[in-house]
Amino acid sequence: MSRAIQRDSAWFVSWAVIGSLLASAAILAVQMPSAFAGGCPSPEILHVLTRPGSNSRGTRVAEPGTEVFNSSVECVRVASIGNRNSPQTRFVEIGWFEDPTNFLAGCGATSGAPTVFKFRFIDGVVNCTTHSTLSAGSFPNFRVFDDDQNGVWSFFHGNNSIGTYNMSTFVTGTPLANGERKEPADSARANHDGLWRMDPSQSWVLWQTTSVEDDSDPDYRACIRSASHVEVRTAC
Amino acid sequence: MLVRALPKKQMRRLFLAIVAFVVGASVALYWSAVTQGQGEESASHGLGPLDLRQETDDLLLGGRRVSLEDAIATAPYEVFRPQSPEMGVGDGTVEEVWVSGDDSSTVALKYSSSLVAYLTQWPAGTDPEASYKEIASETGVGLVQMINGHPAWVVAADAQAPGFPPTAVIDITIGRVEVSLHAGPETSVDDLIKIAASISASSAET
Repeated sequence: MSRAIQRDSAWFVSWAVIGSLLASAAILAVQMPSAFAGGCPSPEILHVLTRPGSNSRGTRVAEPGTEVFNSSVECVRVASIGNRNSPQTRFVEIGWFEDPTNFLAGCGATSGAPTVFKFRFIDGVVNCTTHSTLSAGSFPNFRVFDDDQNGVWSFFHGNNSIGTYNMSTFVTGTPLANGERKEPADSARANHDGLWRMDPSQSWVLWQTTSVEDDSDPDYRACIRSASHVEVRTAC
Repeated sequence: MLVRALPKKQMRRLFLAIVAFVVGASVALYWSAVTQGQGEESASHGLGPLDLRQETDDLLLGGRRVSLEDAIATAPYEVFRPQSPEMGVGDGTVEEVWVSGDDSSTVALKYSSSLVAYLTQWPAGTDPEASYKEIASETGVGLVQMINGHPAWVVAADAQAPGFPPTAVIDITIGRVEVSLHAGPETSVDDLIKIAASISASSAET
């Protein structure tokens, strides 16, 4: 009797194991594609922001500009400038980025080359457009400004307008230079050489008394070469 | 027919095998459902924003915390405020008041309900209603409507960009002053409209 029970138990356990293995195999087969789809397994906001000592109607990087790096990117890499209001509810941003997995809201995936973008954040709503691709080692110029303070911000890549965004009552704010990534596997290196802000007379003036606004990246830091030249690197 | 043809012993084995197979498969499916649930939670952080903001508890970067009376005295415009006791919003529930550091051109009020109101002034020559319509058109988000005769851009919480908290927002303009109301997750957009409707010129009086 006990031998029969032992045989039945072994029989039961064997078929239970077979059932679980087959079910697991079926589940894995279904899930396999998504398991390898993402390049952003644990995204964080990893950025290094610098700012001058004065608010302004705009931010510009030129003479020479922002250096372009073309590294292998798993998730997201950004080098940009922008302007942000004091409640942090509105900001405008322009620069280059790589986002091969289409992680960023509204921007679309890039395909292997650093790509010009413009971005707007207003009360939690975002817009992003992408433009031309850039070559490694080049120093493109960018500027974003609301010179006549009517709430409409203009975006320029070099001398080419790439559009405007209406930002409501946001007409002046903190100029920012940014090196950003979302995953520790990526680089946040940036080189903004020639940082300007727009003063009340609508003239571009070089940044002065530059300081670190925020550094949420444990590996990268701001290297302030001069008030108008900031690099984001692992070591200065 | 086949089952009937089997001897009793083999019938028992077949029954045991089927039960065992179902139990095993069920355990595997249950375990998969549990672990997949965990995966979905982290995946919900999915798409993310470009972000020029910094983590801070300050309502206004570079600003200073003041009393409500000081804000009313220093702001270059009337500090319009919601007065909606039924929604728990009024001067008695203001927890923090901030003004921007340079010229008090921005005022921020935080209420105990987690509602935050940011006040700014429209530049001369701008048309608030036209601006709201342009922004709604550009973003494809929110509705422009009149609330108590004042133009407003109404954004529901589910319109927030991925990676940002689901916060209903109403930007309403009274005269030349914009009051940007940012609700906590417990406040629906309908309730926020009621709060916005309680703002009036007379509410600025202390």
